[in-house]
Amino acid sequence: MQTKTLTRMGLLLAVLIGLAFAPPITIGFLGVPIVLQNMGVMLVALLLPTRPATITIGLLLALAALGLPVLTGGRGGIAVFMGPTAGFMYGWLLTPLAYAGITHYLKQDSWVTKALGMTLGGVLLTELLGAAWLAATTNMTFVSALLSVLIYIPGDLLKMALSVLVVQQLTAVMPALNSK
Amino acid sequence: MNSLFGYDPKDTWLHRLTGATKMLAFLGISVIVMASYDTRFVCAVMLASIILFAQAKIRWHQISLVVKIITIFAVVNLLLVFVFSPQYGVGLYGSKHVLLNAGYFTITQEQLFYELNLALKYIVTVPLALIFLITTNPSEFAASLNKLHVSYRISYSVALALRYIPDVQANFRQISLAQQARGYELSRKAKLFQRLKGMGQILMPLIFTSLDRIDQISQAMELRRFGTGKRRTWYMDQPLRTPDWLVLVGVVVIILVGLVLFKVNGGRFYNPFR
Repeated sequence: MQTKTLTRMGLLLAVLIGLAFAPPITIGFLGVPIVLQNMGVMLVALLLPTRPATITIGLLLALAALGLPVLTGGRGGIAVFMGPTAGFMYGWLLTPLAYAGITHYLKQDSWVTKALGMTLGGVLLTELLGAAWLAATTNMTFVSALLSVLIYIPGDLLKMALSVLVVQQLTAVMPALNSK
Repeated sequence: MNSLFGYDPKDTWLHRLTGATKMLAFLGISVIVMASYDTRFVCAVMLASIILFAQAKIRWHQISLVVKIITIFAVVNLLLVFVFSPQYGVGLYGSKHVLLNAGYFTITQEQLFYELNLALKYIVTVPLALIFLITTNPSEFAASLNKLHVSYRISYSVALALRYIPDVQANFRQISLAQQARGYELSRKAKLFQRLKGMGQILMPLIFTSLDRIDQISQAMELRRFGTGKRRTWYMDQPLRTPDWLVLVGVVVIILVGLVLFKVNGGRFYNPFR
């Protein structure tokens, strides 16, 4: 791997961890606060090629598994990966691959492509895996698990829109970002 | 400067352990403490964890913000466990001692005992994680990972990340304050759209500064011939010494005790209601 890609992985990993401690945005009509870390996952998937992005997210999860408090709320430790909410994090691992697969045949520099790829790969896939895992590890049925994760969809879509907007403007200013 | 966390050089025996030792120790203890619900065992490990934390000489102001955040989320987590499964403890321990009758939300000793166990796990793992983060030099940690057969390129990425977490935190706060000084409202008073726009105004420069630094760092690394060899030597590398081996043996003993208690208790749970 090139040195620049490695450096980008390192610093984006630092941003990912840093976003875990950014203050969540609480909004009256949404029952749950919007936390920023999975937006970091979306940014990593958008800014890095598929394999380095997957490795970066894998490193985040590896550090969390070691017990470091690098997930939102200072969570960490192997138990997080056995608990009912682990499915969302496994979804994060698949986000770069899903995003690349969805956008492979579409126009690369269009914001619509990015929005579509990240909605399917970053939001819906993660929520789907989260619900499936939640159903498998608790007494909930898949349908009720799916209904319970719907509460996160509006916040995630807002984060998706913000991520795509940020990256679109970044690539407009720094064309080198497109040479993945 | 109240950064959330970062390496703080001092000369204690915990600082002198290698990163590999601390990593394996915390991984091992995390697993056994998370798996066990024997309150006596978890309390004993918690006591050891707190003693070690004191020996690391970590100052409160270094970690107060991260501890507050962890506490808030831990409390929310415990409340959610109660809201979604208020009788889970009754099922686990096979008895029901009601403290307060309230229909679905009846409060029982069993549920409170179960959630006490969950809370104790936080109190074990958080000090150990903070010890690891604050007493481990990122450069030495990269060397340790390489010793454990992680590619030196990947382990160097991890070292870069750990080294720059405080910088990212500082940048975030600096940019946030600058944008608020320019009139972007981020608090509860603002409407949703304004707050999202404000968050975008923070993320954009945060990523720009990170990407700028990426260019500078990667050029500097290449000018110093990083990545040209299959292997490399490490300035910060150090061998495992007697204290490292003693710590690893201690961790093995703790794990074995935990496993023996599984057998003694007839499962992972210590049941005081039997």
